[in-house]
Amino acid sequence: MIEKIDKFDKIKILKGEKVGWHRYTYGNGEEIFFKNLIDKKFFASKCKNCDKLFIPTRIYCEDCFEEINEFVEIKELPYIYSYTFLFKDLEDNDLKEPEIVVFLKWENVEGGLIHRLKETSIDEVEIGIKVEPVFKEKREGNINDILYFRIKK
Amino acid sequence: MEFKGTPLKDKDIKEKKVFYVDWHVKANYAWDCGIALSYFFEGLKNGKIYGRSCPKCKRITLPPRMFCELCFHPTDKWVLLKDTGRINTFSVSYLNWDASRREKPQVPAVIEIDGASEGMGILHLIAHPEKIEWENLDEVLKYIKVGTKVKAVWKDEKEREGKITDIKYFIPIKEEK
Amino acid sequence: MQKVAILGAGLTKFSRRAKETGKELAFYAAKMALEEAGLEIDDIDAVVCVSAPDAFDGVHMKGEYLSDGCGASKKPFMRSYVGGGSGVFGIINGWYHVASGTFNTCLVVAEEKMSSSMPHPQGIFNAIYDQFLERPLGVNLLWIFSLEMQRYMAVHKIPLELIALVAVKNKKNAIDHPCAQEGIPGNYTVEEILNSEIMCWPVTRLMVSPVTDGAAAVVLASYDFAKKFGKENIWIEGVGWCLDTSYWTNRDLYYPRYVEYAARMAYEMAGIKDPRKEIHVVEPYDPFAYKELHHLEGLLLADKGEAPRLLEKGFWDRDTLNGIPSSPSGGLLGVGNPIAAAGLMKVIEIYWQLKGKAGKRQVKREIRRGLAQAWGDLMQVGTVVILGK
Repeated sequence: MIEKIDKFDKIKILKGEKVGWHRYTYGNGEEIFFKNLIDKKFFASKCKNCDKLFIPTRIYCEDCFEEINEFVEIKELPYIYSYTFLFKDLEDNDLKEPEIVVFLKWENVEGGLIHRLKETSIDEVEIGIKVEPVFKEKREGNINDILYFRIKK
Repeated sequence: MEFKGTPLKDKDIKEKKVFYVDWHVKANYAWDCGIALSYFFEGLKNGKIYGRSCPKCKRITLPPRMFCELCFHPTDKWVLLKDTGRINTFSVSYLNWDASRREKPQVPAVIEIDGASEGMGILHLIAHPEKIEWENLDEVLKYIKVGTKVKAVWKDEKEREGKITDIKYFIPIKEEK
Repeated sequence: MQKVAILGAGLTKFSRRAKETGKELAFYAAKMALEEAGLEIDDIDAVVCVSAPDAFDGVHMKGEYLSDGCGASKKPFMRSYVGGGSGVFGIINGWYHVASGTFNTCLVVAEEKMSSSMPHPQGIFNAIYDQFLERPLGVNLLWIFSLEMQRYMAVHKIPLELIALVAVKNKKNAIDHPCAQEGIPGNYTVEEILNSEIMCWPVTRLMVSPVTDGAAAVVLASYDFAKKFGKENIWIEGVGWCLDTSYWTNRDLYYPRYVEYAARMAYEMAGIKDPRKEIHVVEPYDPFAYKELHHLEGLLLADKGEAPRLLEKGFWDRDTLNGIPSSPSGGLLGVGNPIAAAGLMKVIEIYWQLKGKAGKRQVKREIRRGLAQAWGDLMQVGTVVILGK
């Protein structure tokens, strides 16, 4: 005998929230990438087995499953691999100006970075064009040490 | 055998010898109580504890549920239970939810409610019968042990919200011989 | 069903907070297991990862996140999770992969990075409690353990001193474990255990395992694959698992019946009729001191209420000749408790004991069969694995 439900005002909802926060250590691998951001440098890991380069840095090659202990500086600028435009914020309010989020890759390097593109209008954005980083004055070893990227003129 | 791993000390973090990033997130939830608990909470608002019976195994379940999880059969009747019971087990806690210390202990207990099947317990708190707050472990052990009879102390009718906290706590009572 | 062998095992150091990310911990353990087995990652057909709540590491879809550190890139991959029972559950899941004949080899990796959760992982654990009936009371994780311990002691009239002896035994055993978390092993007396800070009476601080980061890994292989290696292999002889109802306040907590059901399943598969004679070394899950005794009874290695009396007589000591050594590794109380990896650490201990590679922890009596058991969730799951030579 299943009870028939017809009194919906009696069905209750209980509200609650998740509390607590997280502290993540970068680990042996990514710490090298972020430490070098302080010096405005981009570093990649190099696997001695397959010669592949990885950004951000890591201490193992996921294909060869070998430990990596060689890290090299990448001096070239990254290029736009893909992009998207944001017109609303996380609370669904309209943004005054659309924001540009890009996925950047470096030539001959596996992996890449997601970041924001500024000082650029929507029609200037094109896959393949090179971009340069604009750094903060005071850097701490954090992805936001890079304020944003802009198209290299 | 060589074992890898880099144990850190508190000062490695404090002195920023190791890099890290913090992430704070606020996640809010609105849970539907479901059919059984909605009725149960309405009951609590009216100062009553309800269980629900299974027609197959004849258990009177508490907390009430729309199906008996042992028979996998729908339950069928609401059963009004008493607001007294017996302590199945208890503990004396000096910790808050986030592992910070309490000065005065709290006493959580599993209480088998009279009227429900044997062993049907709910989790709640036990308070000192007069002072409410317990002073220390020794005082708690003077008043309660496994098997002690307890009775619910309810919030005033106008303060009840239809939540488990409508029962403020249970207190130990003398047995009637 | 094919026979399944363990070819290699790996373990990282256990610590309160490791510098390594979860991926890196998983990589170290997996690589070490492959090296002992003499295999490369390409020899592995499938990967199983076990890890407890995503909320500890603070990463969503933790299995997928850890997968490349587990060597699972571009491979068949499965993650399973039953709370603390996961460590042994991983072996069971991996066993299925190979025993079914679907794969020849399977790498099982267990990882936990509890240090990410702030202010303390206990806060994350609270979500295990019912949001309607229990959380509004201001619950703490330790309540449920102290409630169970109280019930166990009350039903069998066990004095606190006997429970404390488990902590004494395990913390002493762990002195000889190279991965043990700093500050955890030691030579304690019963008084020191009982007089340590009261957390949630009757549980005191030294009766609880610590919060830990760590990883463990094991390489499983089919009979045909293992034969090629010619070395003495350690076989999985039986597995068992069982989940009880989540209405924990409706169950009598003095006895873990779900551990008994899981154990019976494993004993039947292994053809064991008299566990007390046929199991020679055991690693029961010991997140709290009383839990080891609770589980030894659930595993049918002692009568209900008898495990503490046997402990007093030295029956469970590491160097016993007539008893069954229990937690020779030092267990969670001595080595550390990175939830999922802890269970796998226990399986690895049985494996090393059977191979004679346990160093200073090697038990004195002759052993041919060992059992590892893990527990988890809301006093709910029992997972058991039996290994033999």
